[in-house]
Amino acid sequence: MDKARRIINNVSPCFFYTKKLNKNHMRTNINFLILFTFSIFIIGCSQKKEEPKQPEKEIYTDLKEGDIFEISGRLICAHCFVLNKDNIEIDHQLPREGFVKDCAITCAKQNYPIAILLDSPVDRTSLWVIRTAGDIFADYMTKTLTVKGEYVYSGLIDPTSLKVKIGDEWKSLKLKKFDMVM
Amino acid sequence: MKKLIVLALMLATSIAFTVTRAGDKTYYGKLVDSKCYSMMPKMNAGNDHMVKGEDGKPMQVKACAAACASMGIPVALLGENGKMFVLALPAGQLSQVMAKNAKITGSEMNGVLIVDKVEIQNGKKWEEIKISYMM
Repeated sequence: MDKARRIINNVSPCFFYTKKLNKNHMRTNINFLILFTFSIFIIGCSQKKEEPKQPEKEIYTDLKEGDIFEISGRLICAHCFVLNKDNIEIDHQLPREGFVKDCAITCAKQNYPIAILLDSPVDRTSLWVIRTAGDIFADYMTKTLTVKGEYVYSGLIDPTSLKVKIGDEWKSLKLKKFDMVM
Repeated sequence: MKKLIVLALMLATSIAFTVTRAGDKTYYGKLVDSKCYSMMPKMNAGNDHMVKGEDGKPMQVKACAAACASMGIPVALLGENGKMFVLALPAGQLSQVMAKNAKITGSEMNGVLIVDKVEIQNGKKWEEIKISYMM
């Protein structure tokens, strides 16, 4: 029995539960536990959370009239952006009117042409006007919009489907009925 | 003192003139509905259009360009060389003058025309259309 205990004490890291220990043994075991816990912590931290893969962006080359393609960008008022490149938020600074609060929303409601501003250009263009009534975007200005539609010319897309990003979710936007018939 | 005031006024006027007109050009063309026109350019350059009906068959829509503009579909200027520019203004304000010849003063970027002045041809005359921006 004593022999068995002696073997367990030498092997198990938890032998201090079973027997009185001398100071050196105790210190070794505490060091071991600290090292063990620390390594678990390091391993846990180093394992990155696997992020869901984003679908790769299609690179469009040589687009022609009528081609279907999809682009994503920030919803902005084309008019105000052309006047001042800083006008990508809701409030704008205009050359004549000065500071205009909620300008982007007002512009959309008044049916100014609404566009999306892309992070990287498609067909050498970053500003794409969406060929539809601007008022459907009034509640979503400055949000990210994905537009699928027909290429008209570089900078003008005729939408067939619209999705706006709200928080982490994508919401489909309805085109006006008149748009859908044509 | 009077001379000084007159001089200052003249200077201010000239500066204001330079600021508002810098980069502006005059564009001539016809006001078209940007949507219908590119679907059937030959048929849809006027006010009445041929569109695809709900059953998929083509149908004629009277005063379609005016209706589209009223709905907010961007209005475009079809240039004499066939190039189309989207007009950066509230579409509804041009609904009554669709398919007319227009002279637009403004500046262009990326196919978007920032409009300073809209004039419509009426016989031999050009009549200005007042655009209210309401911002």
